Amino acid sequence: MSPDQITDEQISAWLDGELHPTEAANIDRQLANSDFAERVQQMRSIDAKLRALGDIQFDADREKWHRKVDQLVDQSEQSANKPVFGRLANYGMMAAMLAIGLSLSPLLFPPEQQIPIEATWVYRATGAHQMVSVGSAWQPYEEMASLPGQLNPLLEQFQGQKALASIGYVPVGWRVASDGHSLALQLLFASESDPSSEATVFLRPHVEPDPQGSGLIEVNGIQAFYNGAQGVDAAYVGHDLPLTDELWIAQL
Amino acid sequence: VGPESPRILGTLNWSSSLKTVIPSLRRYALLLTSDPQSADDLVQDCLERILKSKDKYDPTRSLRSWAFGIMHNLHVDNWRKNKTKPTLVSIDGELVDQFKSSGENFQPELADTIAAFGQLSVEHREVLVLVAIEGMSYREASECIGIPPGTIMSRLARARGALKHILEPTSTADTNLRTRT
Repeated sequence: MSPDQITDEQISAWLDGELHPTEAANIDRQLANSDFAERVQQMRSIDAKLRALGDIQFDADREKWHRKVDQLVDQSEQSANKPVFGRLANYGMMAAMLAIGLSLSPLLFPPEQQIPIEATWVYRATGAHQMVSVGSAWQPYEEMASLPGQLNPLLEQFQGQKALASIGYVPVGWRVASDGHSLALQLLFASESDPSSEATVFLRPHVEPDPQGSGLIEVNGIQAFYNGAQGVDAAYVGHDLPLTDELWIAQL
Repeated sequence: VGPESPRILGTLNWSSSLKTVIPSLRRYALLLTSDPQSADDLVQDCLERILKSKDKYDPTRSLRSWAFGIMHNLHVDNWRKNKTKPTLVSIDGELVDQFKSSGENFQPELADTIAAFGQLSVEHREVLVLVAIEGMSYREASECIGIPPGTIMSRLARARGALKHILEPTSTADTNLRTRT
């Protein structure tokens, strides 16, 4: 390969040590060509300036930033050390509000689409709440209003939306989800103040012996399961932790 | 895990670890935003997000790389929140002053480079900071900003070419830019 055939992209990658060894060896050989060597040198000089920028240590206000870090770490640890019951109770209170007005089954899916529930409390027995999207991406929340069927009455009864709104979360999307036993409508909420902070809520058709429906709410990594019949039934922290006896909380 | 991740009894010491990456985060934030106040806000938001998400931290990964990825995501979120990408900012003396006041080893000849850097697109600034300034591998950089390593490679070449064009507009090589066809 002649020097003219070597691209700037190859030289750039060569400077970063990321070029394939065979191509790199070719560039090494071409450095004997003075024109090519000049071309490489120009790019090297740019990199030298960039490295000099990297040598500038942003240590001004060092103490201020260190105090800020200590303060944020302390806050984080205090939050983590808050008693489990207390933390869960906060979400439990919200979950209890969510339970109000949930009566979803006949509204969410026509009878022919409902999947029989083989084990009503399968999640309680196994700790598995693996609700997953059923082959669908998030749909814009606004489009729900134009959907045929009976989804809108369902949302009107979803009082939990007010609870989420009270902590600054607004609905942004929806999709269908399933845990392999039942279908659910999954709503995506985003924080108005921090759009990357999301919460999802599963609205399931009610299953016996739960006449009010049940669901799972997650806010900032905290998940709480609830059902309408018993108020808050159980809650657990995090995505992957199984339900354990000590994480069950009493009916509120 | 790099030296920036001291551990105590196998558990990351978040306070000391974060303090070691703050200078890099502040430099990255300033070069992304071109505005000292926005940069400080971005660093603060980033620290809060890191601590909120610390349970998700993979200890096999460099804390600096993870923190940069979080900062990138926050920056993108800010674009979305404002419904627009940041416009290119022609760096004024304020940013150069910020660099001057931030380190004892500031070299006056770097002022032109800082000014030129500010005329690059945000995408070009990002890859240059991650790879050319912070010394990350292409794979590490791709994990930070969520694009394939091949895109990092081509974007870097264009970014270097653009920077060269600004710094040395009469460069002969600049008129003979070679790209892969």
